[in-house]
Amino acid sequence: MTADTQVAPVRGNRRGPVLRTVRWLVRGQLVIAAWAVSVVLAGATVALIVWANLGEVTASVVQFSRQGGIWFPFAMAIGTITAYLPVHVAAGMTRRSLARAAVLAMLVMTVVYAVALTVLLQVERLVYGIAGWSHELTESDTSYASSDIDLVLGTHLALIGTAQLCGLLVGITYYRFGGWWGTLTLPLTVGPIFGVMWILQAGLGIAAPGLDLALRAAVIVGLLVVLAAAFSLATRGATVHTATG
Amino acid sequence: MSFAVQTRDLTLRYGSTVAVDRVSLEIPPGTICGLLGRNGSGKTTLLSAMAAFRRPNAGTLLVDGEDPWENARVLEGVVLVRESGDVLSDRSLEDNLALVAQSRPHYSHELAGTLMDRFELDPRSKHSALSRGRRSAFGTIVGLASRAPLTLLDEVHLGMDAPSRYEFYDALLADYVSHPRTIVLSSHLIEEVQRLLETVVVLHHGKVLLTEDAETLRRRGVCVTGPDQAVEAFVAGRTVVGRQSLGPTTQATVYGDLEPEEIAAARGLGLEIGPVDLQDLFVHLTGKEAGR
Repeated sequence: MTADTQVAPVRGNRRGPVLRTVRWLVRGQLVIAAWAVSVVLAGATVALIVWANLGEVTASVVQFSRQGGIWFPFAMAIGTITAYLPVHVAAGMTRRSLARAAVLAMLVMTVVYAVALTVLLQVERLVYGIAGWSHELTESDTSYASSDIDLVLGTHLALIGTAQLCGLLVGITYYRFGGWWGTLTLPLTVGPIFGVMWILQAGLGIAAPGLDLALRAAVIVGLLVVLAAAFSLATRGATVHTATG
Repeated sequence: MSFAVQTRDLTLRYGSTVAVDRVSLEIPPGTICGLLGRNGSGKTTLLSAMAAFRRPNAGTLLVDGEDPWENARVLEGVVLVRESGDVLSDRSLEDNLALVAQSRPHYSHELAGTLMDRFELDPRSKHSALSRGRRSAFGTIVGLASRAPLTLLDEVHLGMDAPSRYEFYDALLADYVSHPRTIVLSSHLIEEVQRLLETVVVLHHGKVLLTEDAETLRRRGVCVTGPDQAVEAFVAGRTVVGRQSLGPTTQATVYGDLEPEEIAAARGLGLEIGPVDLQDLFVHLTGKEAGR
């Protein structure tokens, strides 16, 4: 059923739809992330100056940006999937490629946010060291010191990664199934973030610390895989909304 | 390349509302097809299924011989432009065109640039900052510059003013001639688009009322023009689907086949016989008396 014409596909150096979409999504997200990190940096600097002038500095300021580091990418993920799905399909690409690209882009952004927050924390620790202040992490769910870089980074990766996948899942659930189902399923779609927080804080109750840590990591990775699979499944069946005519 | 479209008993529902009801039709490759129908007749829903925006509830839909749903090869060659626009509204027009260019194998930068100039669109403008007319114009640019083997334009030009619409019709026709493809044009402005159409599908209450090539459709009646009394005498007893009068002259659109001797008789009365006006025919076919 194909009629030949003189039109030849202009392929050139075209990447596959998944890579193209990852690049597109990450490029947009990086600009926003740069702004977000700049705001954290500026806010922490001002807060630190004020605190130092009022009294003795006893704890990290940057540590409090972790909540923003979780919920800001979460919100961005919701907005990204709901805004981008119709554009992606209208541009002639499959939902399957979007699901893969969105997960990959979110993983890239997870690394970006986690590394940025970790670096900020370490720079702050350096400044505190020079100033002779105590760099304590006082948030209730932190069970490590700021000098444990691997644990700091690992915690950030786990929390931000979960938050972004949960954001994608919340977004696609609202988009595909509407407001009622989107709201009713929030315990399932947002709950994993709190689950991961609990796992990171309380551990799994295993006496051997190394084994406990490894099992925690395995459980969280397993959870991320389940979230990504659920998101992919929901995206692949989504209707692009349209007015009847 | 041009894609054909075939549907058999295609049904699409919104909850309990049947928007497209067991539609069977064929759109041949390499033609401009007019998809006509009143509001709520199922045009947008049918086009949405062709572009895999929506999955059919029943029946079969083939685009270039394959089910378009999650079909990467087919989807790459199908573009549906809706008046609402499926673009990144907070990004510039050039960003949006870059996305389209990356996704569409036949995309023409040259045509997009020419049309951007013709419609006086600034590539740096954000889509959300455009007026309705300019958004429509941008939609037509996306649709035409994509040069997709199946181009679906759903009322995309309605927000444009008359000069812009005629620019669009001219651009569509010129590019279609140089790069033939299948174009489905959904529109209420039948009078304006009828000169473009090679085939016509009329939907009514979600069903296909007729699907014919435009020439055959035009032969379903005639347009009779002449002095009032002569026209009235000739149309007496016939189905008149449209009538216009200007001073002593009347133009009536008559539905139904006319024998050669009847046409000769009309000419003998000093009447001019012309092709039927698709708009009058459409109004007649989809009027209140048209069956559900």
